[in-house]
Amino acid sequence: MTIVIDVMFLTFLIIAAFLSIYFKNLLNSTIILGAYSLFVAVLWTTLNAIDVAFTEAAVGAGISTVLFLSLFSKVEWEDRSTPSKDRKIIATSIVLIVGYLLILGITDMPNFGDHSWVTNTYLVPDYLARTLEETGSPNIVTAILGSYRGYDTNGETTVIFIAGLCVYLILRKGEDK
Amino acid sequence: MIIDFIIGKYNYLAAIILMLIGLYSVIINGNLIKKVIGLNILSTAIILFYISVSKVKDGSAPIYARDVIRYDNPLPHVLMLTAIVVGVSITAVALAIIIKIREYYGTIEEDEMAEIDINEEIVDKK
Repeated sequence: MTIVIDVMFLTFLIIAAFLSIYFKNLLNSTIILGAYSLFVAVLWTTLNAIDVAFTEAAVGAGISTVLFLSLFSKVEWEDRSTPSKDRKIIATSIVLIVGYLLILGITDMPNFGDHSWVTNTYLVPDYLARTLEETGSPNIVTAILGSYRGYDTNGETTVIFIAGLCVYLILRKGEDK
Repeated sequence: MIIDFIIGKYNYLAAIILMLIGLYSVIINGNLIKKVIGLNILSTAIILFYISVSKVKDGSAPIYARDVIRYDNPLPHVLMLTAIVVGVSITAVALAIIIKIREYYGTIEEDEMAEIDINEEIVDKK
């Protein structure tokens, strides 16, 4: 049953991604990108990644759509580009080569959902066994995010701060000239 | 054999297709906003790949509960939370730079910008 839902949402995702780069009206593309993010959030709920799902629903579907829409108050929303034939040939060949290499890469991997794979047996049982008594948090993702990998989260906060600072410095009208 | 391959790894294949759609959009579009949309799709595809790796059969969400056979791998979830936030930061800075480019050139198409640059060089030489 899960496989049917998974395949349905993956098909939705591929159609939405294709449409959002196909439309020449950029408002259409942006709205479809928001729908795409929402599909992704639902897909992650079915894949049991709940924390990622609500972060994506808030940040991916919410904030980035708002950022794109606020951009259109200053920039026209019409895509007037007509890619040349050389560029299409180059892009298609690069995409085919990269796709071939990636598919070659996943042939070595175990099947989807294999619990004896090394990523699921090394270090993770340790986290699962010790998290509750060491941190007291029943949610393992939150415990790792806030406690075991606290430095990562600290760096993430720094990234957001620097991004905000960059946006401010780029968009500031030059008063000091 | 090919059918076994597709059924066993359909999630990874979908992630690869999404990744290629994003890459194609980044390469081929002369419009800068389309390029940023392509980058967004690309980063989502990579996150989809990691989350697919973390899912195990019969696994439940990584929150302590009774009667659980096994938990999903929580580590990729943590890493991908960081990746989502970094992706949005990239989008914000890229869009700010696009506004600045629009103020300077009056357009956000690569071809027109290249033409303006060439004309300015000719004027400078004269």
